Amino acid sequence: MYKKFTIIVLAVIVLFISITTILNKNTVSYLERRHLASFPKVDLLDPDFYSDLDTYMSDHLLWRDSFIKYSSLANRYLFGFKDNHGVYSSDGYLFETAIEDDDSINDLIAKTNGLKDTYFKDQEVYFIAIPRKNDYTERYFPLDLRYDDIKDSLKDNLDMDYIDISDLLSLDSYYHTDIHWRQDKIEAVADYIVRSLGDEYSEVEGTYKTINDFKGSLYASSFYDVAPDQIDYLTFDETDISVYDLEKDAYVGVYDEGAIGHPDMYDVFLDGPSAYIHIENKKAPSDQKLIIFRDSFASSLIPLMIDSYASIDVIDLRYFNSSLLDTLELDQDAKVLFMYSLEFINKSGALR
Amino acid sequence: MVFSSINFIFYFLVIVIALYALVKGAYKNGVLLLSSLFFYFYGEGTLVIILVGTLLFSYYYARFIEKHRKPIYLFIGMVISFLPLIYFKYTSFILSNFGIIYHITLPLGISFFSFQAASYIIDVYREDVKASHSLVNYGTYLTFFGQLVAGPIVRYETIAKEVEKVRPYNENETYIGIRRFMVGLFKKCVLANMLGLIVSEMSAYDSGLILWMIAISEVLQLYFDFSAYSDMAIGLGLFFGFHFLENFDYPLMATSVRTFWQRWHISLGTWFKDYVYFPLGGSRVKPLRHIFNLLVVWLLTGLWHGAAWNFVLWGLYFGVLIILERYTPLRNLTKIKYVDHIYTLFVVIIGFVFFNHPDTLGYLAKMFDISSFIDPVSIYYLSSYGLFILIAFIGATPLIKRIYRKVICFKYFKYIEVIGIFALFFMSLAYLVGLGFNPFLYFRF
Repeated sequence: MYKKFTIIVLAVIVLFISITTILNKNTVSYLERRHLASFPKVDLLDPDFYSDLDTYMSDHLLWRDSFIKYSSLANRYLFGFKDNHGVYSSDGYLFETAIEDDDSINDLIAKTNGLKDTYFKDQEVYFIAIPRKNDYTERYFPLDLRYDDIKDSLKDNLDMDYIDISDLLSLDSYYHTDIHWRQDKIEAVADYIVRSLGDEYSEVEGTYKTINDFKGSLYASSFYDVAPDQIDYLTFDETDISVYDLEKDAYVGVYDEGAIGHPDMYDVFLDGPSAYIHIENKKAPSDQKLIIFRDSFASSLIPLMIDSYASIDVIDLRYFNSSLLDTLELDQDAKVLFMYSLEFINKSGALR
Repeated sequence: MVFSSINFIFYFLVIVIALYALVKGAYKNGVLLLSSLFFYFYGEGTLVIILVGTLLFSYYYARFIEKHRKPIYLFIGMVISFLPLIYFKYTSFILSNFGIIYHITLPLGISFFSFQAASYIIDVYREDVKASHSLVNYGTYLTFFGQLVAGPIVRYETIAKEVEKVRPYNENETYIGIRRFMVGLFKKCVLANMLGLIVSEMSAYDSGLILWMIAISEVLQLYFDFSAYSDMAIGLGLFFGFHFLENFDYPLMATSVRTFWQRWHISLGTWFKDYVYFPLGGSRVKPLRHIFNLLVVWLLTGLWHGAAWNFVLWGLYFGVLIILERYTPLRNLTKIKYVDHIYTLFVVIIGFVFFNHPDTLGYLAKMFDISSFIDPVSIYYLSSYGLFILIAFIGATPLIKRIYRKVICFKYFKYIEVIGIFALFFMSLAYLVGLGFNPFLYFRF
């Protein structure tokens, strides 16, 4: 009897999952912060159709998020893993393991020096490496990339002024579940950077808005022992501020509130990942100009510097080919700041 | 398509079982044959023509050779049977030795179905079995999706009676088949894939301790992966009324290299024994000839596993060890309790370094380099993954089977077993989705 029961119940479960998976119309996984595969174009003779179909079915499997969570929990509590896919928790924060990649660091140094020599020979050029939050935990972790380990290499080999912001940050400056820093905790960093560039810092006045249930990039790989974050972003009067996004060929806001509810809500800052953004502030107290080469960390920092500059050119060389810099007609009087996170410096292969 | 995929479990299998249940009598084999050809086409596209060609040739040639039993015909049959395998699998390797780069896509499972087809022709020639007179029935045997791409290598005589008759539904065997399939799914999705991921994560480091952990994990991964496919094949066979022979028998419990290979991929060992080793004279010849026979078998075993020199070395390594166990005092080592286990595990782990690492000597040198054996990273990985590797190792021993045999008489155990089957199923799905890592290791077979 129990054998018949097992066969029937299993058949019902399998059929239920089969049908609900087909009917699953979700297009986004908020847990994994990505768009799910769409149904492939049917071509029965094309081998790619079948591999795409595999991906589609796997993406749309019923209880997919629960399965991902349970496998992580089993790794932690059943098998005693200390990290899950390179993500571990400590002090209520999630951290990511990393292996120092000297080739990547050297490559970034060479490319950055090359850009300075080619385009900004007669301009003031600065470099900032943004520490990881791993630098601010007491826990010793062998698979790590530490700011102090590569700072000297950057300072010694970069042909530009180095600004050290590491003393201005703490663990509290970062999200619990994401690698990025929190805008509401880095006002002092913005102040320090502007002054280190030799410019006047003008504090942005506004009010913070909050986005709840922000599951950062480390959340999906965690053991789910850290609660989601909230994003606080400083809103202000944008009447005299224009933000032009080259890729969209359109003027956008300093914040993209359309990103709220999307897989990666950090994209709320400065229109998310963009190749080139030109910001102008007509009410800026001075005519100071700045060019920033950046990664995603700058997206939340730049709004805090917006009242200090008449214009800021924001270039992301992951999406903008450096050989085309001439086409941007960048201001020859502007100061130039290269600002990259340690994560990016260690994985600089995407630099174009 | 692999068994451990959403499409196989929730769609392919559901549709095949439904069709199989709907049709009657002899049409059931037709459903299995067409399903198997689609299963192969799904993964390999037009290369299915190689499978169909092998099917048609071996079917008609066996009928021919049944009536014309001459050695020359057998020889011609073998040459034609192995020609696709030699072309697709070994041409690139042979040419690469002359500095010529020539890439050929290897049809999946060609080593398995070529060996099955050849064994069928030989068995018919030897009159061990009668040639099938139904292309559908024979095709069901040769192409059955349950064992098509990762074995075991099934001899026609093993299922000849079953494939040639109508197989009624058997609730007990279906239940056992489900149970076996779930065990295999768990071994593949949880144990093998997790071990593979552990290996992948540790591969960036090369301290001695980590290299040992990688080497041990790789042996366990291969064992769980391969035996999982055999478990699932046996389970699927039972769904459809076939009884395949066991392909693994706790090889890591072996007390010598010889017995290890009697427990690991048994169907391949049996194939070489019956069709190469015995025809060469086996062990009932002079020692030098016996040594030659063993070396031939192990050279071929190495080449079967992959067309590269490290596979040749890998095969010969085990062949030489078996010869030493037979003809030197090493034999005594395999008779001392516990020492025999340790010796066997040690040489097997080292042997599989040949299998997994083309830079074998460099890898071995680092494994035994005391000066960089332990560092903080290796201690971290040991503390993080040590328990899982230990659990996996215990899973590779008969301990669970022994416990199962003791508790099976417990009155309510059957209900616990049912819960266990569902637990294995859901845990397998969780890891299948959660890991995002589901390698197929048999692309070179």
